[in-house]
Amino acid sequence: MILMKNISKTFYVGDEIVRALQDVSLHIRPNEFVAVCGPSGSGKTTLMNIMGCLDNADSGTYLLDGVDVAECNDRQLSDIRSLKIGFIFQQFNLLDQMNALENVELPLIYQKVGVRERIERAKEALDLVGLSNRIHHKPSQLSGGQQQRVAIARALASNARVILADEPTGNLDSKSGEDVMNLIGNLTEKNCTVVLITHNPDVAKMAHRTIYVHDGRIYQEKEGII
Amino acid sequence: MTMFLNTVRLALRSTLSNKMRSFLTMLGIIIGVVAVVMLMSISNGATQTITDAISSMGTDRLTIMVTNSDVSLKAQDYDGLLEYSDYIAAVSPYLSISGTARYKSEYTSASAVGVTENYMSINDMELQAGRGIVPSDLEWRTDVAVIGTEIAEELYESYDVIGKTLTMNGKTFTVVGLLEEAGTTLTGSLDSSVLIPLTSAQRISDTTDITTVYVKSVSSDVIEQAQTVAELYMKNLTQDEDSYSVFNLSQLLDTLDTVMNTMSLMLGGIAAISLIVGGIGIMNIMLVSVAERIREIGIRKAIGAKRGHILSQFLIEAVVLSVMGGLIGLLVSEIGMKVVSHAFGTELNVDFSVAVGALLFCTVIGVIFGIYPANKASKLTPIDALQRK
Repeated sequence: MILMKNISKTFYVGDEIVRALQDVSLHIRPNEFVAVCGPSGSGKTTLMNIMGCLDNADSGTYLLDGVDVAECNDRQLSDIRSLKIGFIFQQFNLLDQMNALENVELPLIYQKVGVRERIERAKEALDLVGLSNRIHHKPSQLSGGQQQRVAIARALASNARVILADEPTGNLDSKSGEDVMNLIGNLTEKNCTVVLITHNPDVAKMAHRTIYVHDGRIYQEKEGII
Repeated sequence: MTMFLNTVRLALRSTLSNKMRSFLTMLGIIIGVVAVVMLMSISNGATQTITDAISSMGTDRLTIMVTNSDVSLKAQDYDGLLEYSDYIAAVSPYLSISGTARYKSEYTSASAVGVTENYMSINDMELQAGRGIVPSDLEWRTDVAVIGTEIAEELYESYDVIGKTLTMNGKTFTVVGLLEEAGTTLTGSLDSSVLIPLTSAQRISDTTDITTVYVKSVSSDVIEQAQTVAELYMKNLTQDEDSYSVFNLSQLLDTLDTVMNTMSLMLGGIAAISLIVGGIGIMNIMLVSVAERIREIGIRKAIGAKRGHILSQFLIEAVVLSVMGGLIGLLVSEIGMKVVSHAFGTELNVDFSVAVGALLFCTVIGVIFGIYPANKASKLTPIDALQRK
């Protein structure tokens, strides 16, 4: 599903050169649940941004579902993000002025899904994350855990094959975090490939496999507890 | 389409959620629209009133004026004009004398017009009592007068005027007819006319020269031909093209129309500058909005929005702001016109075409001044937009 070969990315912060990723190669199979683990500043978020086509690599090849991302133009990248990838962010990244239902509908609007089907799928997704009684609440009226569940519903509703989760429990208390992780853990059963980014080894344990990132390099891959 | 409606709905919502800012942003547009709409409507209304007044004076009528005082033409000299062409239905030389009309202790300033028997029909004047000036009056230089209702009110305080007398320029006239009320035109009240036989007027003013003649064409369609004929006739008569002029009211109307249109365009143009200033205000606030919502742009891009989606979103918001401003401006103009109408005691309305034009102009302003911020927003890369705080 995800195939990276010799991916490198360098940033310039002032005069300083930050080598965020150096010659990273990895392969993630369909329906796999992979945790990317590493301390902050290790380059794991950069890795996720490249995986999610939010950012492009300086060098190397990235094939997503067989498509060479470097060959894609702006429109095609938008289509990939729209149809293939679902994001779950640490800060939830919901739109404040929209209620839960509208937030979940948004990716479907960009996919040009008709209004009736759109609402149906959004409600279904919210039901799956256990928020069917909160669909008209705005993010400010929801707890952190609930907001993250809306974000998961948003990723689910779009029927994305790849779910990228960047520290999804980072801003949550342990109870809510556990709920959210259970939902994410179940995503593979819905035919999703899940990449979870975390610095918390306990969270990483839930994945099928863990990739460790340090100073922009992958230095160890180890099978997790299934 | 659903995409578009959704965006409009969201744009309206974000406009309403930030009422004060939206209002201040729209204020420039509101003031601009009010200025444009009211100025143009008022000037259009004024033009309409003036042209109506002029055309009510008759578009089938020509006026011949002898401008050279060395040329001496008598009433009979114009008689030939009637036989000269089939386009001409009537010829009526006249002579105005201004003075004061008196009856006992009452007096009023009036302009007596020495006329021939067809003057009333050429000027669409009707009698409500008595008789008009007839050929025998001209022949015998009788001292009779046909008066308007205003004169009747001023001098006799009643409409029962037949047989009463009035004195003007030392001569006493017997009133034989009362005109129907005709109202006011630009040249003054028609109801303050005093018509006397032309020959009597000539005697009072001690001249037999006639310098002004009304000519009626057979219909307003052939007014141009009648004018050409009249000019030709006058040329033959005077042998000098510069000593007379022939003009018709529709010519005057055309000139007036052009002048008023130019003026109204000029006023509108000046007012439109304030609309452009309002547009700059919108651009400014849209730039602020893009900066404030950079994270939202990032989120939208991350979940699949294309450049076009972001572009249209901000463009629609700019247009919604300017069109809402335009609508409020129209509402204020409507109220303003009511106030102006009340103050001037006339009926003035917002011109429909001006209103539509102003709204279209607002839309264009929204697009023009929205395109730069919207384009700026759409060009952000998702990662830039998401990571910027």
